[in-house]
Amino acid sequence: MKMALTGADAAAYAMKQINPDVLPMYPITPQTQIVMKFSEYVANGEVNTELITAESEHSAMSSAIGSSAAGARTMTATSSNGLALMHEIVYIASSMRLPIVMNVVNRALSGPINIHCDHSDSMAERDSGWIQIYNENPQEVYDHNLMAIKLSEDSNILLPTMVLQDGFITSHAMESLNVEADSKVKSFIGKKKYEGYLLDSKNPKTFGAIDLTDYYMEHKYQQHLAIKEVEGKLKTIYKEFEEKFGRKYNVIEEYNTKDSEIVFVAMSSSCGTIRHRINEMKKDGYNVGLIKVRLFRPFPIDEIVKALKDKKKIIVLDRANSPGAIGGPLYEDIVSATKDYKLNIYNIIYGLGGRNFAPKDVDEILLKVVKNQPFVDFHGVRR
Amino acid sequence: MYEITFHSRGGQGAKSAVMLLGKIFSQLDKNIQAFPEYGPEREGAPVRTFLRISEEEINIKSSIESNDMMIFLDDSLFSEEKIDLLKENGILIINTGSEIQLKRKDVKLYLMDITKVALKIINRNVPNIGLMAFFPFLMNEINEQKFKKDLEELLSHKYSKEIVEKNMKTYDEIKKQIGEKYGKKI
Repeated sequence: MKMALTGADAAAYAMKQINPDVLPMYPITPQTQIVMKFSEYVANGEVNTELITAESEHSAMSSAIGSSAAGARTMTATSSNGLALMHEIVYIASSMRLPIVMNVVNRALSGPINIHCDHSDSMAERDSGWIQIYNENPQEVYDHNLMAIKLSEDSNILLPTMVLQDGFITSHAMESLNVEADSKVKSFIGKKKYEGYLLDSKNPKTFGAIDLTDYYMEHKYQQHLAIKEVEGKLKTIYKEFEEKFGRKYNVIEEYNTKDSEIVFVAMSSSCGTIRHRINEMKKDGYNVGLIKVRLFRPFPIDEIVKALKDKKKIIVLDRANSPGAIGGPLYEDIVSATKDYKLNIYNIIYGLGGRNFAPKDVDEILLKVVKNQPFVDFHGVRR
Repeated sequence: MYEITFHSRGGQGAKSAVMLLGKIFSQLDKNIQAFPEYGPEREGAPVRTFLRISEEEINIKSSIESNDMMIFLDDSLFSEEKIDLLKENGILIINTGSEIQLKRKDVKLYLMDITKVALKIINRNVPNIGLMAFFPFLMNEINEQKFKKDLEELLSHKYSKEIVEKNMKTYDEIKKQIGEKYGKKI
């Protein structure tokens, strides 16, 4: 069925169909729209989720951990400083191997205070052990909410997932998308397995116990092994999803890369604007490619290498900076992944705090890249 | 792709208007993208709101720079340099009680005092639903009866019966005035 929804409403609609057991929440712009809409579903009796209105994001994530450890299918949502306030607890969720699914609406971290999009909030959580999936539009947000449940709850994975979308640009823009029937969604995500959790008095377990020099490192190693399984599992889920719903996904997405010597590498909504410009340039006889990185954690190294190793110039767009580092977080991963090949990789830091990214920016960046040797620089900033 | 920009002031309902239009065009099996430009959230602040309608998939994610239609819900926001972003032979609608002359002769200009009607019927400067009467008038693919019915139904999801009635009355009055002023019956 076709519907017109904003990115935030698409997330809430998927959450309604998933009907999680527990949803602890704390509102923050631009994520508020998600929990507001979901609260309506609760008030109308359309879901039977236990809604917990927490007093802060720190408490919301703590409640999510409590309920997930008890065995409940648990979801939540946040943005920006809300995610930063969760930070301490975010690591606990992944290390306790709790399959929580959280919608993160990307927004710049303070300061200066800013409500618009960049990826600084979720990039600060890239080492937390959560799976991170970056989405371009409401359709991808909807689809990946459904798939994230399956992925996180898989018995070989048991890791939490962040389903990300760009604040305002995606979360507050209405687009047409396909949504599936409740019954089809239900059969796709399946029932949660409730074995092995706290509320199982016959098989008692300990969660989150102290773990010093004796076992801490072994537990960290297990997390390391588990997240390595994610890419393969997600690909299996993508296949199943395509068979069931007809929409095809991969961990990265290549567009017009076959005959192009120059390629952009980007994440989330900007990929749409780049694709739009690529289509226009193609009419004028210029071939430029795009590689969209959808799965950022774990980083799909082999796919990235395969897509990039023969390219003449690679432009990595980062919507977050890592002050004092060699470049932005996506750039550093791309450089590390392709270290065996001598590639010309450029890094552009752009769009911080929602600074507009328009088709003309694609042209300006291309012009700089064509004329220069590889560089790391800001684009669209007053100097 | 058909692209429309609204210039309005916070509280005039331009965001609701593009979201409603987005839903209606989506039901006509078009691809749509409807979004406001977020700034300081206060009544009276100038705000731009955008609507894209397309047969093909919409990829672009930034504000509209080449419009098929531009709408000014507040005439104090209008200046001729703003319609530099309007395509040749584009449509311009201004909610105004004044006569406005343009230097550009290619533009299809429509002037209508929607606020006056809204103030009379709703008792507030909320001209968004009145403005809607221009869409079936200007776009041949819209069936006016169905459009009006969809609009009324979508409004009733959110507002009380009284508010919906007043807004639809404004719509009917503007529809009548469009017929009187611009000749073509809808």
